[in-house]
Amino acid sequence: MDIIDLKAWEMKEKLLNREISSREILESHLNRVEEVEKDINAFITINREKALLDADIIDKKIKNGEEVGALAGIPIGVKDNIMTKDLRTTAGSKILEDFISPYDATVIKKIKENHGIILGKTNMDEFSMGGTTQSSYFGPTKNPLDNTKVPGGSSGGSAAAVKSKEVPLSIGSDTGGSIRQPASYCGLVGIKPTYGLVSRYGLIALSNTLDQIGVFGRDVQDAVLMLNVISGKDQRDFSTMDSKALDIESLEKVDSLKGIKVALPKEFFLGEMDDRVKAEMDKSINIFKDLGATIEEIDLPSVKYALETYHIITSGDISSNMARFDGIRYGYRAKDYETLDELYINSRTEGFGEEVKRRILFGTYILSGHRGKEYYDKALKIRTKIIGEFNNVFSKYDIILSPTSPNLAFNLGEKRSEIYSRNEALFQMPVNLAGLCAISVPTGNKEGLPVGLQIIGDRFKEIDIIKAAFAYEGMVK
Amino acid sequence: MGYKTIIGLEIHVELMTKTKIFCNCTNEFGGEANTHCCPVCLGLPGAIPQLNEKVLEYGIKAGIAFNCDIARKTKMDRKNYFYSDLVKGYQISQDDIPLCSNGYVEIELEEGTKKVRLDRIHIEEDTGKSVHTETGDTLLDYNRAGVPLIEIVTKPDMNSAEEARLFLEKLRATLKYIVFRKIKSHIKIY
Repeated sequence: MDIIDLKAWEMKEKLLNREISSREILESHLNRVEEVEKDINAFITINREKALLDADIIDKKIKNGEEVGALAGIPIGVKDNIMTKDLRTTAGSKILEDFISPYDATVIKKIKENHGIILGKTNMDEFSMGGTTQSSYFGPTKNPLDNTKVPGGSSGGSAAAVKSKEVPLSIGSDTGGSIRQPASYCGLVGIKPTYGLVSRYGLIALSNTLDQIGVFGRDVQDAVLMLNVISGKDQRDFSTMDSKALDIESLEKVDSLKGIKVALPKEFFLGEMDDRVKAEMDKSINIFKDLGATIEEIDLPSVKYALETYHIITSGDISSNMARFDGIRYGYRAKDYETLDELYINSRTEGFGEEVKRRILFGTYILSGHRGKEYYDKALKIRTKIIGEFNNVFSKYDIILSPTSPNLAFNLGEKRSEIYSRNEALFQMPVNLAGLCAISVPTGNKEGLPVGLQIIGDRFKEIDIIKAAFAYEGMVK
Repeated sequence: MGYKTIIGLEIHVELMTKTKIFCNCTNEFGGEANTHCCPVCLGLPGAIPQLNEKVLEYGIKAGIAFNCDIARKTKMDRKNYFYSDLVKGYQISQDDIPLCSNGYVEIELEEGTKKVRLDRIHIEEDTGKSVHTETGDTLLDYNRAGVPLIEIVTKPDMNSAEEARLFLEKLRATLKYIVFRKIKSHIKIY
């Protein structure tokens, strides 16, 4: 068996048993990158030299019998909107094409403290605005399962890198589905943690109250290994909480879900859904029944407003969050300008892509004058209503089940209808609006493109969704 | 002349806390350009502000000294505009729920005591400093970016320059006494 076929936890075991070295692990993955990158384009930047040095340091530690961290020797892909010191962070945008951060994001510090090896920075929709990874300034990423399909997005590079075995683990960010949807399209496990479980310090903000860093792995155990390292309270992000909720140590693989109450929101099944997704969902429900869970249909009447609510809140935030990219202190600056205003206008006109501009304009419009009250404040009220409905469900049920997406990976360059996007949004955005945690697990269909099952949990109840995912994964493997 | 003098003031007071309002950088006047800076006060992508508790404490002290209602629940807001000394493209300030509201300062006039009402006192961050050179270049120093301020806004209650002077003297003396008596020379009113 080739090293790249191993799961991260298997690599680590073999590393600690001295069956393989950290350098061997890294080199086999770098070779894989050489081999497939031209077809996949999962990475924007490869950290080859530094990664090799890091690998040698870990081998030395192991040789000397020193303690090594939870991610020792594991190559990791990092979405390019997460700050890495001395390694450029572009957010998939021309405006940050040459930006090198002077500091590490908290999650990067934690990865480094745990001796994980940052292999490279992964491709993404520009500033996370999109769901296909096609809006990147660095070209689209392709789905490793079928190069004519999108990998999903916006964390499409992080998903594709893990699927194509260029890295066993990666991190991404999820503001409205950006981890779960690519996990679903690429057949991976993806976790969007509870808002506040993982520090956002060093993550380029899209929408501050919705953004959350999360993980991709090829199985639940790998994803949990990664999540466990990056979670926890951070003085630099006041929204973080202590991660005792995620007591991984006490988590043993479960093969029964007896006593677990599962809710199925009717609203998720009203719209168009791909037949293959429908079939996989029906099978999954039966698997949960076989595992001993009780399943009931419930109502979440306000989730039908999730798309509008999400776009008003995020676009408002975006118009403000993108303002710092002005060509003054860092990033792209236009060559031609006479006045300060021209410097701003030309740098931003040339530096931002179309989707980013569209959202800045939309956000600025809805926040201007009286519209702030008319739209943004109203969206916040609907958000509160959605949160209330979820709270009600979680007072009676442990988890919510749904497909991660009603769709399968589609063709690169394909224009999707508004209804298509609307259907997709319904499954993903409410989770962010309510600050919940959710995991996408492949359903185990052996033919054709993968389907993801989404398991949604209450805030800081990661343990519930991980247990359910373990049990489900055991049945479909 | 049928005109009546009506004066209202908006006063910014720099708080001499040890560190800036949202980060651990030293809050110190002057210093070599761009040496008291970090990812937070430079507004670098990904940085998150973290409120300095002392700023809240000083703001509340000022509110109590000037007979204000202190908000039981308050929040920060963004004031968006483009300027090169504004690192994030917005200033973090307070809009609809200021920390303190409805206060007053009493000044002594010949005809007796007069109350100058305060509309609000809120906390906010200062911007960086633009230095315009003789050659026409503009240099930027961000040491001041993120220095904590309180903004005091009066009602239009003063009716002469003399009243405004008395008000400012009283305000300044009170602030010096309650909040900054140890570092007298560092109060700036502008």
